[in-house]
Amino acid sequence: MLPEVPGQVVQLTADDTCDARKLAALINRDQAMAGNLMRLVNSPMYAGSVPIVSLQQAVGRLGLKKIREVALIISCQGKVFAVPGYDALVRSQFRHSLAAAGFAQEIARSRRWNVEEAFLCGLLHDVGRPALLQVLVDIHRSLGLVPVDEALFSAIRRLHATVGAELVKRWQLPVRLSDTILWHHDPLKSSTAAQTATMTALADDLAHWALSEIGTVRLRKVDEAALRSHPMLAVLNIYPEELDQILAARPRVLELVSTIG
Amino acid sequence: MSDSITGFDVVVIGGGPGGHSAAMTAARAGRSVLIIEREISVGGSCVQRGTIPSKTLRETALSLVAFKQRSGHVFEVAMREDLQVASLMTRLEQVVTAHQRTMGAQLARAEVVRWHGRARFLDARTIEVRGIDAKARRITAGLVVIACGSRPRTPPDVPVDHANVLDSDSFLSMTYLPRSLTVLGAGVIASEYAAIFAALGVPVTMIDRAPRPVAFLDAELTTRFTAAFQASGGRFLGGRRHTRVEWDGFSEVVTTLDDGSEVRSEKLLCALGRLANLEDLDLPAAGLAATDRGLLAVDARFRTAVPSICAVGDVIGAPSLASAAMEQGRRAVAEAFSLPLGAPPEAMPVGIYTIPEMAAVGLTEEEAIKRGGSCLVGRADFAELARGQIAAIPDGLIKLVADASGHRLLGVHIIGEGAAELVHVGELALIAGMDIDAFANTTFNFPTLAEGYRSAALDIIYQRNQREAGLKPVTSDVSG
Repeated sequence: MLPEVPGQVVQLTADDTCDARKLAALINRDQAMAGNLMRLVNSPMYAGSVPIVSLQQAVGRLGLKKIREVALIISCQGKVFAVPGYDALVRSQFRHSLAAAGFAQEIARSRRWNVEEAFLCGLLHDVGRPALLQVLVDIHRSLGLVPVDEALFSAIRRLHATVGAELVKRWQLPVRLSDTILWHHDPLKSSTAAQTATMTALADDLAHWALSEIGTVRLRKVDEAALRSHPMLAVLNIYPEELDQILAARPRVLELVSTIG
Repeated sequence: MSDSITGFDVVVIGGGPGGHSAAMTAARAGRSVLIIEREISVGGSCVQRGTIPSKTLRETALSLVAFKQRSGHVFEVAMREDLQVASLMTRLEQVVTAHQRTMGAQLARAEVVRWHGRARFLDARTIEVRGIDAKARRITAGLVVIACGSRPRTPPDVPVDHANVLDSDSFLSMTYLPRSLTVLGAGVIASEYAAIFAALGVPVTMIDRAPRPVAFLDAELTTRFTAAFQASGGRFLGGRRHTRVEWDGFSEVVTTLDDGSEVRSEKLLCALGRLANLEDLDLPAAGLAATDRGLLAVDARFRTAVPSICAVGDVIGAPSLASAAMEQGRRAVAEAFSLPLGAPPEAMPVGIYTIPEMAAVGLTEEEAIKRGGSCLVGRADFAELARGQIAAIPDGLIKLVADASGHRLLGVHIIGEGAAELVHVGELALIAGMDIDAFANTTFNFPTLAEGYRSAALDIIYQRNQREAGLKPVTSDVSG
């Protein structure tokens, strides 16, 4: 999944006059880079006692030198979440996550909530999918077996929320983020992150809708009628006119997807 | 769309403090009442996004300040660096839920019908209510009370993105305590948040065109507040305005001021006023129009240009306080149905939940001088009150403003913890037309802060006696 990004970050941060905007945009381009960066900046080696809850906070607080170090470490880790033979799927899922991040921000903005956390909720809500895919494919291959796609994807569908939440928890990100990921398909069951999980559930379907006409690999199709009767609209108190505004953000979200993903 | 039209004696648009009060007054008078609220719960911004959440956060900040003061600064108190803003409002959900439940239960007991949806006028007496599901219902009303409240105003040159540049709605959902904060504006909301975050240890810079914060208050109070704010690490840049606000795309919001200087901070709160929520109502259909300032003009009985439509609360502008809205809602309905109603209050108290708290009722010293040429001022420093020393709040002040004769009470101004409660003694005295001597002749509990009323009154009486004896007062408290 875009393994070249950490390399570009290293290159960019090597120049002390590095353009801050370019760096922030670059890190936003890669789900694995973002996730690993969050994990590393929250590790005792970097973070001290300050939890880093967003990418921009990570960039802002760590500064160029440390971001370069982190990018180097990630680069050395090799192809994070890259699954040979499934490149198109992983890329498609990443594009979906980016779209969900963009729509989560639109929903938060519409509710006049802080949007900083929203982006990360969308970006990482399906982080369990590539992680599971990688692990399951590796297991099959180590046993000399050829994975059966339907079995593989059924397992991923059922487990991705739990695995994603666990992954994020191990990265020592806030509990609210891991709970959001855990409950993004059943948000009303969350006791600690009902608001962000509800937002993410709607953003998830908005992302499916936005990308459905573009061509994706193994992603659900969601039509506009389904969005207009989405059960989360009532929970979030989003009126039809407000939904119109969120839907109207589609070109902006797709631009984000095409620029980064 | 349903064709059937239901009729109500009173339809209240908005379930905040003003709307709730109007609905309860009408229902208790035996009228059929419908309240339309666009949010899921009643309470308005006051409960969900404003007064109650910020005061819950303030309580935490206050505990920190109080602990530092009461321990005589023996203990080093520092906030955990990994502190999240939400964790400072641990009781918020319970407080908000309890308040909403109480308001909802009161409406239910009074048999007020509640609809969840957005209202718009079809004509002066017919309203369409559209729900989340886009289904519309129509109703007719004998009296309509508009109490839709307000939302933060975003000036076109302040790029509020709800991530780095926030308004007072998105501010409280900030996930972590910022390393530094700029506050644009120095009104009530700006000053309250600036004070709270400074008390939490965040370096705060407050910027405003006005020379001092909360400029409508007595200058002596705001001077003391500014000193306390600066002592807690805050910085006030008065008499300046922003010319540019920009997120540097990396780590800081850069605010350029009209003197060419720059203020950099991790986050910026834009608190430059509020906008009335009127645009969804289709006012022209009812024969109404908003003023140039986006408000509804009303008469002394809170009637708009259409007599069957009243407006209360933030939609009619200052003072934009929950307490004022409640009273306006009650009076609007009582006037409309000729219910028994006392004279309108001559003075409305204000309570500002800064740290320290400020409250006032009646004329400021400046206003009294302007009106009468001169005045007498009596002061009681909390430092001179036993309770002030015990509670370790020596920075407080009760200030009484009397007319030039030194007999008639014109205003009460208080800074210090408990100010918003203490001011009610002065408010009742003003309403009752009590003179300054009444305070001197009243026994107050000892040790209390309310004793300050007596001390301040004695200060005025001393000055008065000195003057009558042709002597100069030892203190130089004679103004004008």
